[in-house]
Amino acid sequence: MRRALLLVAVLVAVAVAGPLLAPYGPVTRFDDHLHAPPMPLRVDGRGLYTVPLRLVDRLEQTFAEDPGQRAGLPWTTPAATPVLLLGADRLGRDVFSRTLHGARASLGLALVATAGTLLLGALLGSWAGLAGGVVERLVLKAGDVLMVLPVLYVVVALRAALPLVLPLPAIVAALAAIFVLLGWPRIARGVWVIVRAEARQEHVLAATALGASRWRVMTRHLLPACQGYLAVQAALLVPMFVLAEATLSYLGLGFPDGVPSWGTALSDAATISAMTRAPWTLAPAVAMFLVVLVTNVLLEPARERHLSGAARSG
Amino acid sequence: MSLARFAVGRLVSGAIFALVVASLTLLLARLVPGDPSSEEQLRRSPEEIAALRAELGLDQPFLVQYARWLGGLARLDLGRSSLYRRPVTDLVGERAANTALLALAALLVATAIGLPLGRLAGSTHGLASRLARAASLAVLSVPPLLSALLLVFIAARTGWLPAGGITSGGLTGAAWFVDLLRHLPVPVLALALPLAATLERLQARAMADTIGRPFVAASRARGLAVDAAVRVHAWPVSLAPVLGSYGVLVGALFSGSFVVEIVTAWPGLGRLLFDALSARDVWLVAGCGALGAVSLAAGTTLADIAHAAIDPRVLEGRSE
Repeated sequence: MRRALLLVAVLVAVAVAGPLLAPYGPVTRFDDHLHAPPMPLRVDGRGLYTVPLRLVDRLEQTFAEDPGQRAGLPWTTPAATPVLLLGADRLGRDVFSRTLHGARASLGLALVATAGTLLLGALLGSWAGLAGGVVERLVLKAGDVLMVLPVLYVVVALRAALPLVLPLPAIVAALAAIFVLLGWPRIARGVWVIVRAEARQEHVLAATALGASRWRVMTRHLLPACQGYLAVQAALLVPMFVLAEATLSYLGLGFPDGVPSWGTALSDAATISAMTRAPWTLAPAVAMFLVVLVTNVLLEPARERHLSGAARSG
Repeated sequence: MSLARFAVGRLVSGAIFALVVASLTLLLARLVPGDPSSEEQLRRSPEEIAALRAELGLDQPFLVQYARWLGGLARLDLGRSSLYRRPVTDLVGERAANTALLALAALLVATAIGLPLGRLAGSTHGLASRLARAASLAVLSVPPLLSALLLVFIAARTGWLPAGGITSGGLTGAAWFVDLLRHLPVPVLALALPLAATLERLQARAMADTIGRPFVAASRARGLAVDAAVRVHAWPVSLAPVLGSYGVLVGALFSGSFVVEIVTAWPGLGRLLFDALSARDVWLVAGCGALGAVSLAAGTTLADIAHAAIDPRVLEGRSE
């Protein structure tokens, strides 16, 4: 649970700080550096440095290092000689900066959707566990049907049902709502299992006997029992939603082209000609891979339980 | 509950599920702003637009459209696609066969890789077991979108295999078949690798759980070697929970194949649905939804029935 919370906190930090750390703006163009390859960091006695690239042939987009020239890190070098740590894309924009800027849209959306999913899932799950009867059956059955559906088909169909061009806040809200709609059943089922077991405990019975309201029992006694489960689920949901955003943007149904996100950058980079011409533009894919990999490695035991469908974890 | 009763019950609820999902798709397709005539607004006169809408049956109230569509469904007539100017039934059937080919091949490959590796990782503690575990953790972090892009990239860069499509066209007989086989590895692997990793993890866990159970210790106490105890006793028992998860994996398989089809230009159901949605082709969207829902229901139902046949505890509702 502590690992899960730490991971989520780190992702929040990346979303907040990413754009602040970027050396260049997301749409800053360097016209002499279209498809420029990455400039690796080097070390010598005087510290870290890079070697700036000079355009050799504009049509062929070939570049050469200036021997003897020496530039510092991108943050300290004047913008006249750009230092592109991960190269540039087809419009001469710094891939490193765009990946950092994209973190905010991609992780931000994923975090918002995760918060919504946990909230709705915990509410419906604990409600079903406490109320029993028809409510319980309805919530679980609806969740079952939603869980069987192939997520992507539904996401794409729902997104396509909305107007294609929307203002940015509306897009974020729409995408988050779609993710929440598809994500809550798993959380609700997990919370339901815990609440059902917890509701038979003596301290809950005692609280009820002392006249505590159902709301108080739920918020004071039942939901705290789900903390560990919810923390782990939060850490597992974020990468899932990051990938969902990437897929939607790749299909042209996510963020519009102007918004830097890992998905829009990927849809730019992911044509065969672009990939063979400038493989470094796939950096956002690597960023996504890292987010998922770190989650998987840190939370492997929890993830296994998640895969095998058992709910209780901590 | 007998297996037959269980099977009938699952078939009925599967059919209801398919009908509900198909109906929702049609509703969704009608909620989409615009219809096939929208694109023609600028080019045609209002009378022609009205005629086009009447021809497609879009001038009727929704309930009439729905009733007609359900009636057509009973006769396997799902209307005409305005995008391809062909009957939806033919179009959807062709594309679904392509998706089925992709999904089944991927499922076979994933099973062939995942289960043996999972057995290895779950029953031993050596280097091979650790490697299998590390590999599947890494592969699990590469979802179909990224694995498809990566494989297409490799195929395009090296030229070993065609990077997209299902056939090169203009070929017949044996040459066509060989060409199809050459187009298969990229999309099938893109879809199968994450699935294989999932199966490996599930199988490893099931195997480890089973080995800890008393009957395995008992068979060791009777003098069976470790290998034999695992092979004869633990392995078959550990398969049951893994097979039980195939029903859930069918949905993941569909989702994955959607992305893979788009990235590798595989002419399957997912691509068709995407094109139909972009073109506001109402009846084609509904047709894709109907067939998708039927295949999904069939897949999960079959998996559940197979699971019940292997593991009778499912029938009594007390499987883990």
